[in-house]
Amino acid sequence: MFDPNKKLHNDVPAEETAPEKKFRTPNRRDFLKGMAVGAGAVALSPIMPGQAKAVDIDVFAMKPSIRGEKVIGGRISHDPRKCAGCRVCEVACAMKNHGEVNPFKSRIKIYTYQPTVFIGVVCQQCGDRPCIEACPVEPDKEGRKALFEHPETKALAVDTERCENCNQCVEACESERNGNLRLNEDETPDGFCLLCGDCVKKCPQNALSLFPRTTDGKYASRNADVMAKEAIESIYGGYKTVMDNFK
Amino acid sequence: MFKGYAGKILEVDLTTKKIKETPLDTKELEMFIGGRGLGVKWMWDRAKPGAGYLDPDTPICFISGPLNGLPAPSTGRLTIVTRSASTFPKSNPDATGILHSSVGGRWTPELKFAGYDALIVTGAATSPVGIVIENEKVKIVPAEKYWGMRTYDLQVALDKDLGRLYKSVSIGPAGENLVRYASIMHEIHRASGRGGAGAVMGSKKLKFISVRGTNAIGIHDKKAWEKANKHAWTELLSSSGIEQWRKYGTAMMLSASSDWGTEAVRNYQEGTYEHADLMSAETAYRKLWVGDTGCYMCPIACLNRGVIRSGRFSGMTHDGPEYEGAMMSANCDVKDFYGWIANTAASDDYGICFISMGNILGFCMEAYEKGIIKASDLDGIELKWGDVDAMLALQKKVAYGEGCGKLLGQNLRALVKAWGKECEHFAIETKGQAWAAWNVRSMKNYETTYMTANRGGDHLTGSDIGTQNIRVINDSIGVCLFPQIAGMKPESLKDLLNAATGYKLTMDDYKKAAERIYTLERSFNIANGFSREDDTVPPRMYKEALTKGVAKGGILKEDETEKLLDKYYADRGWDKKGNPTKARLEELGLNFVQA
Repeated sequence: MFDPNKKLHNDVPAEETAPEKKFRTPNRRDFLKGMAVGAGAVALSPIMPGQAKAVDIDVFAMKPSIRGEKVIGGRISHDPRKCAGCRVCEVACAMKNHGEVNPFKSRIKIYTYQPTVFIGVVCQQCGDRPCIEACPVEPDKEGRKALFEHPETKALAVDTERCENCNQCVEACESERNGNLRLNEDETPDGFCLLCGDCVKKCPQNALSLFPRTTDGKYASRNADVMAKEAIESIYGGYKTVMDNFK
Repeated sequence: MFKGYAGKILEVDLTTKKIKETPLDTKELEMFIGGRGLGVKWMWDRAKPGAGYLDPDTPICFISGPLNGLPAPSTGRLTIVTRSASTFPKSNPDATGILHSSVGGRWTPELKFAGYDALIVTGAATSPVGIVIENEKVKIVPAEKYWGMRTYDLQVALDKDLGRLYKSVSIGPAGENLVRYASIMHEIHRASGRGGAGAVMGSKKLKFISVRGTNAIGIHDKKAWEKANKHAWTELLSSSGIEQWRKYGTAMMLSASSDWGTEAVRNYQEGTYEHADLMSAETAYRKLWVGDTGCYMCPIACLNRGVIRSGRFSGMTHDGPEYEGAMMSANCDVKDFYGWIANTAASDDYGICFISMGNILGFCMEAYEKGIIKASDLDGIELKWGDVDAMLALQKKVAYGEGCGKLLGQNLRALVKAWGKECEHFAIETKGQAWAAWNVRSMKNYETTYMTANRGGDHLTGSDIGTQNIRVINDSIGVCLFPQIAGMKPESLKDLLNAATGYKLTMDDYKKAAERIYTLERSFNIANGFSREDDTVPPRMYKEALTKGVAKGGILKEDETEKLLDKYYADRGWDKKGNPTKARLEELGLNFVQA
């Protein structure tokens, strides 16, 4: 009998074809170049050339909320009432960030629950950052570990060169938050969100939105199973399975 | 190998439990493209002429097309090609015809991500099994504990045991009990219903196929793809039809079709239903629906999910009405909205095709009304028009093969044989396949479709040769036909196909490929004993005129129909008997077919 009781996330199959490692920005050279060229605020942009360029929705242009809360970057939110589960967002993300048609590599994931509800899982940019906290890498002089908050976009970013492949950030995300962070084939963390907004733009049901982050995101980044239970209760309220009626 | 394809076929023999991979034949690809086209070629090569659908050697092919999985609109369509359990020629009731049956969802892209274009299952297992595919790891697993489960329970159990990343196609109790119109279900609501592919899967004791993949699909020319893809999305999203499609799905036709007089009402006695306003999409929109469900890459999301909020069936979740659900409302004279929804949901849960089921129930109701059968023939169930509880009880008997369900689970011809010749007049079928909810007396041109469709009385084949060709190609490249009904042009799909695979097809090649596939399907049927005698419409269409609505007086005339049929054969390049001519076969490159 097969024993497929695997974890919901992170189950990258052992023997998988080696991918081309060309989409992992930044690398050490970019980093050093950035250090050499610029100083102060200017130095920040060449650090993450690929990631910084990816941001084409300006989160900072957004006004603070009417209640006057402080806006810290942005977050992508998923609405299970609108989502039709078409996976357009997954493919858009994989195309943009990995350059291939392969939703498995997407950083946003749509899970199907029964009765039919789709739960989108994407990095919620938690305010307390348990993943960064778990990272054992020594902070550099800017105070950045291998995982750090991007100074411009306030999104989670990864320096793959300094990553020690220890899996601790993934475990932290898995145990404390929605578990979207996972290990890539090269054993560096993947599943973080750049806030590039491509999934939001392409969603045909308008179920995704990118909005200013005013809370710590702990509520929105709960485990998908918990969110699904709640969504099913709120959408179908007191449902039965089809055949419960015919017994 | 062309890009767009994964390049491999997975062949599983359930008798010997052998699994092997074979590469795709590029010559075949250029001729038959994929999906439905490749399927009919493989059936021609592998299926013995004259065999039945229960023959263990009969292959069942789950085939993707070159566009499946790519980010073009609605590319999640799976085509299942095998022998039909529903169609058989008058000359030889043991042989069965070709079946191509397609279903949306998320299964086919996953199969391609796993690295396979198609899965061909042959042989039959001795005890229930399932197939689990994770990239190149393919396992045949025992499925005793799932055997007997209904669709919903099975999906929940598989989610728990395998994980949510696996997508499954499965059969319900109806498929296990070899009901001749059992469907293959996917994600609870989606059914590959017409033609009884579920019975073929059930005869192989194959309960489910779960698949998951992590590889990428290649695109030949990314720049051309981007351009064509943008064009296709823009064309679809800016089309005038899309808002209606998104809001109601096919259910929007429920009241419209009644207005036109084209609906099937009380076993096709009428074309206009007086309670159409009640059993309509508007009612469902107000009373039931909570959201949409889309297939892979589909902006239309025509399927709606809903929950019944009051009454006897309250709390029941379901996929809501769609147009063909009219087979269980108007065709059975049902006025109880929630009872109707409960019936269609029960069909899905048992894994029955509710088009055929509704047709057979309507037939039984008429026979009961006319006194041809009595309650004793139906195990004491009094089957009056519109009795939803009797319908539910009969559906259960059919699904589990209990009592009269054994007979009802056959087909209309078996019922006519059992209940006497007088029923033949109102048995609405062609080639044994029960008709869908479109009434041809008021739909000119559709009679030839129902008569000649290769999988029997079928509403999806297309109303004329041009439409039929487009639908053949849709099924072959793995996209849904609804975006094109909503407003996307076939030219956009051709550009997408060329960009993805590196073909250099023109619209003429496109048409020719469709003609080739359709003609080969016809040749397969002819090799299995079908002829012009099987291209018929039921006697009711010639003898009873419609009496209500805008289509009042609509009736078919035998001589006119025969003339239309002659013309259709001539346009297709077939002779008067409906056999493809030798010249036509050679022109299409089908030299291996004996004219």
